[in-house]
Amino acid sequence: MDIKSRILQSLRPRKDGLLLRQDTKFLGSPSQVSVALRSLVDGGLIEKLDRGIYAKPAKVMQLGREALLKTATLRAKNLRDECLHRRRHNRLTPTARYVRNLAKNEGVGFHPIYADRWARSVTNLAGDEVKSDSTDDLLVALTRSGKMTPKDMVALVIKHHNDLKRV
Amino acid sequence: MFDPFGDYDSRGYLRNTAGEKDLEIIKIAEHELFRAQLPIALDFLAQCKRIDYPDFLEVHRILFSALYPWSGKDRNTVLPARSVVRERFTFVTQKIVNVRLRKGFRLLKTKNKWQ
Repeated sequence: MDIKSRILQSLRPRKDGLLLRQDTKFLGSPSQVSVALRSLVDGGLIEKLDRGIYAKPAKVMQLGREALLKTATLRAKNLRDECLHRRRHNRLTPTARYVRNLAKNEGVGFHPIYADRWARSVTNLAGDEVKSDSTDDLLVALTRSGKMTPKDMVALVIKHHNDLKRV
Repeated sequence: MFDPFGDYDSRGYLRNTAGEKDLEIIKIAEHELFRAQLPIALDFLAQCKRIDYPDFLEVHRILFSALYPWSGKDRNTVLPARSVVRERFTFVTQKIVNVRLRKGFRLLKTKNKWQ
């Protein structure tokens, strides 16, 4: 299946009839996708509403350009926010990298024990909600195994979460 | 803001070891420290023949001393002659705490008292 067919196939199930440039980035290289989109526009199979915004011609007739552009702007914003959130979530802070390497060198991995469930319940009962990430888990594991002092653990937890806030 | 020491601006929340002021980060640090130290605190309690007030303070020290250097110390030592207020609640005075705790521990020593 060529890129044009894949673009049309990805557009077919969309109820809003909109195709954003971001939607096509996994279908081929940027230049290949550009050529395919231009060809589809020239063939009248899709209509270009604005830079990076395309729609099914039938939807443009039905809803009008303005309404579609409004929806497209909203969807683009949501996609951007989601992407940013994912990048923040997945990004390794310098502290996280250090902790990961240390745990690997020391042969320490995190295995949940009763204390983790207990601590979660106590924290919830205190009216707080804390979600530990994998770096926190590794720091706890390193401390439990005696490879790190509790004081160093606290310093690294604080540094890691300060790094995350700065990302 | 809960600031019984009255020096949040210069020394962070409750004089924590990192001088951190962000409460969200402090909550996480407390939680992770509790997770890491809980097995040690329970091992300590398991070897106590009787649990008394000094043991109670020791558990607090084991759990939180890496974050709060004053933990495990009696409030009379840490905050003498100062009443502690948090939101709508005023903590009972240290004198009453000591009396009640000692009574509680005396009751604990009595066999089957809690059953």
